[in-house]
Parts: sequence; structure tokens; C-alpha cells
Amino acid sequence: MRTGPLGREIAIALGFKLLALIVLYIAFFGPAHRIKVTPAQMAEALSASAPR
Amino acid sequence: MFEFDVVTLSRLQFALTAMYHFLFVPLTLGLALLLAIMESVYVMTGRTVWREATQFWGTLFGINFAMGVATGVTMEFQFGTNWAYYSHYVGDIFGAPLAIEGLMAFFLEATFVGLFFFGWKRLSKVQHLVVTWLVALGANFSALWILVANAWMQNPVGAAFNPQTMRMELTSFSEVLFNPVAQSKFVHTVSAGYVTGAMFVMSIAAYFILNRRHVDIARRSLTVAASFGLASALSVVVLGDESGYTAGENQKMKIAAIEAMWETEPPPASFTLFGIPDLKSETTKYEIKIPWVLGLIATRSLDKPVEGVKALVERSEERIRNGMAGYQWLAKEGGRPNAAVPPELDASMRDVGHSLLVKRIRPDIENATDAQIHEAALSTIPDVPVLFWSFRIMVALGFYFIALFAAAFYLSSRRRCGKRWFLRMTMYSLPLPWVAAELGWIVAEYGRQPWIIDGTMPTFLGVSNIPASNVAASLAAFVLFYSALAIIDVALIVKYVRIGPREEADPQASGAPVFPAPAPAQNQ
Repeated sequence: MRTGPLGREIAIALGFKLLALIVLYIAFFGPAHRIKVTPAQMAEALSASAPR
Repeated sequence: MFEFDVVTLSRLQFALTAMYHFLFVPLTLGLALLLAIMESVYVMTGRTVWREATQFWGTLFGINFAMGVATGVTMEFQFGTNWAYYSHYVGDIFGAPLAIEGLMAFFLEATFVGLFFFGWKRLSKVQHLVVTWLVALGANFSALWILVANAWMQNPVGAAFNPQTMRMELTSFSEVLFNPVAQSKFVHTVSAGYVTGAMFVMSIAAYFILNRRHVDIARRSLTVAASFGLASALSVVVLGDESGYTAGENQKMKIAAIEAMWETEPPPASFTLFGIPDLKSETTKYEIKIPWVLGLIATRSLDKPVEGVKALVERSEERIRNGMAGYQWLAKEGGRPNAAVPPELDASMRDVGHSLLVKRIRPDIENATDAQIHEAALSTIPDVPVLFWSFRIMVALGFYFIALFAAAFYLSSRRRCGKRWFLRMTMYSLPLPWVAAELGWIVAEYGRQPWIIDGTMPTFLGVSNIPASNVAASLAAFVLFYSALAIIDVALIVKYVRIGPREEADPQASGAPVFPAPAPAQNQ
């Protein structure tokens, strides 16, 4: 099967994608950006008298 | 109009990533099975033309798989940041099928995709065929678990609310797995994927035949895709009807909105083939109705009414009022280590989700006026025109696919597939299965609004306390990322379609064409 140029092109595209996903994760979704919700916060969110 | 708050932006971001991801999924589902069928013919007949066909479509499958893989991961990123309250509330249930999908199906699929590409010279014919079938099986398993998770949002079964942890917890995994919505959704969605795969193969085969290139492989591929596509297109419609029935049982408002049916339809309920929904007058103008059909789809009967939007809003009002007592108890006791719902509040607790709809209008919902409760009940109506038209275009496309595949099947069985009008029509039909699939998801997900979990949790309560600017920034980054990927994907597929399959002389080929290639066009 044709693995030469196609394999190279797919590898480059996958590399680009992996890099982009890592950058996106670090910039917007990493542990620093993650919100931890506790049962108390959930109860507060449902019963809070001010809109969230 | 849209208000670009954190709720709208989070929804927009999730919708964008889901719809983009679903550009790849149906083609993977359909092509994987077509590869398995073509390779089975190769193993059974020993004809190299079938191996070449499998390898060529396998190359395009590989590009689509490589570009599509992990595009869905970004949705899972969003659960922890944009949808933290949702994740806390239902993570126990929703996370399980997603984890199973990642561990079992995805690894099965990804491992065997590697063997498919690199195993042609290392495995025996039969071993490679087994690998190809396992790729197809893995792809379908992936879809199953994702759809089990999604179906739970449409029909939350097998779970109970725990007031101590303030979350829904799993009570029966088998109920979640055998959720009727999941079953009907799975078969409908994978069939739509098979239609996409068949149309992809048929369109590119038509392109080759029109250009008198690789005609031997193209005509065989077209014949396989025509019969596979016809069976799949018929299945999509029949199984879509089952999805309609489950929605008629569990999501009556969605059905009413799809039908733009303001008043309850007396039995035998008729189906609106065409009309123009008018939100102001709450009527549908210029209606063309087909008697009995809606009754059969939504209730499987001719003697049951199908409730309209107005009746369902009244029902929502009742449920909002009924849930108030449960809400007040939850506001006081929820989250405490020893909290236990008093038995007399069981019925009210089932409607707390509806009471929470009032929170969008006023925070102290126990003091809501009748007008505010009515306003909250009105918010249970999804966007009627969007659902009405999305559904009708999707269904019309479904019937078009049946007609096109039936014509292809008839013509190829008579060895007359070389007709230019047919080949052109087939080639230009290439994007239509994607249009139908995306519209299907719009009907399913936009039609679930205002709920993130139907009847249990309103969407606006699922989002995190984060600034809208954060979501806007990541949304912009996603648009850039996905646009770049889309360009690379299309460019690679077009490039390798142009290169075409690598053909060797087939010593066993009869040499007689299955059907003649068209004569060259005069004006090209």
C-alpha cells in the first residue's frame, strides 16, 4: 500500500493536531482552568438567591 | 436574538465541536463496513481488483480516521471547565459510558486500524480480513457508548438523585445501557453513517467513471455501495421512525415542536408534510397534512391523541408548582451529610427540575408569581421553526437517498450505470448525507432545550461560574483549529482521490466491463 508520501503527510497532520490540542488544553482547559464543584456548592447553586 | 452570555457561548462551543466531530464519524462508520465487505469479496474470490479497491478506499478511510481522531476529545475538555455543575450533577452516570468508549471501543478500533494499514504484507489474507472486520466492529462500538451517554440526557433512566452528594447516581447500569432511546438512536445513527460511507464511495466511483479512470475498480465499488447504500437508507428511515416513537413517549414537547403542533391533535393524528410555522399567532399556515401518520409514528396507534405545545406548556406549569415543595426542602437540606428526602415529598422531588426553570426568571423561585411560573413553562418550548424545517429537510434527504440508491442498484444490476445524468447526480450528491446527519443532531439536541438532562436539569444551571470572555476566547481558538484541520482533511482526500487506486493487472479478471463507461463529454 502507498505508505510513503501519505504516511509522511498524515504524520505531519497528526503532529500539528497533537500540538494544537496540547496548546488548547494548556491555554484553556488544564487543571488550572478546571472548576471543582462540591455538594455544598451545588446546593448553593440551586438555592442561591442571586443568579449565577 | 442570542445573548452572548456564558450559557450561550458554552452551548455554541459544544455544538460547534460536536458538529465538526460528526463530520468524520459517519464516514468512519460507513467506510469501515464497506472496507470489510470489499475485502471479504477479495478473500472469497481471490481477485486482486477487490484488494486494490479495499486498499484505495482504505487510504481515504485512513485520512478521515487520522483527521477525525481526537476531535471529540475537546468536548470532554469542556465538561470540566464550561460545564462543571453539569459534570458534578451527572458525572457518575454520564462519565461511565464515555470511559468505556475510550478504554474498550476506541483502543480496539485504533489498534486494528494500525494492523489494517501495516498488516497487508505481514498477515495472511484471512487474518487481515479479521482485522478489517474488527476495525468496523470497533467503530460501531465507539458509537454505541457515545450514544448511550447521549440518550441518557434525553431519557435519564437507571439513576436516582442523592441529596447528600447533590448528584444523580447510577442505580442500574443495564437500564442505562438498554435505554430504549439509546437503542433506537444507535441503530438510526450508525445506519446514517452507512449511508454516508456508501454515498462517499458511490460519488467518487461516479467521478472516476465519468473521467474514464480506474473504471474497473470504480464500477465494482459503485455496485457494492449501491446495494449497501439502499439497505442502509431504508434502515435509516425505518429506524428513524423508531426514534420518533421513543421521542413520542419521552419527549412529547420535541415532537410537538417538530410538528409545529400548537393544539393537541385528535386521533388519528395527522402528520404535517408542509407548512409555515407562525410563532406570533401560534399557528401553522398553509398546512398540508397526511392523515394518521403522526399517530402511527408517535403513539403506534390510531386512537390516541398527540399533545400539542399549548397542552404541554400547561402540564409544565403544573409540574413547576408541584416541584416547589421539593425545591424548598432541597434548598434547606441539600448537601448535608444526613439529608434524606421525606417520603411525602417523593412526588414533588420528581418535578424539582421543572421548578428550577423559574430560576432563569427570578432567583427566589418560591416567591414566583403566576405570570413568572407561566413564563418559565413557556421556556420549555424549543425553537419551533428550526426544528420544523431541520426535520423536514432531513426526512426529504432520507427519501432522496432511497431513490438514488434504488436507481443505482437498478442500473448497476442491468449494467447501465454508465449514464452521464446518473453519474453526475451521484457525484454532486456527495455532501448531502452530512447535511442530513447534522440536521438530525440539530433536531435531537436543539429539540431537547431548555434541558441539558430532559426534565431534570435546565441547561443554564449546568454551566460553570466563569467569565464569558474565557469561553469566547477558547471558542475562537477552536474555530481556528478546526478550520485548519478541515482544510488539511479536504486537501488530503482530494489529493488522494486524484491520484486514485494503484492498479495491477488482474490475471483472473474477465476483461468484460460490468457496464460500459460513458463516452467522453463534448463540452469539457
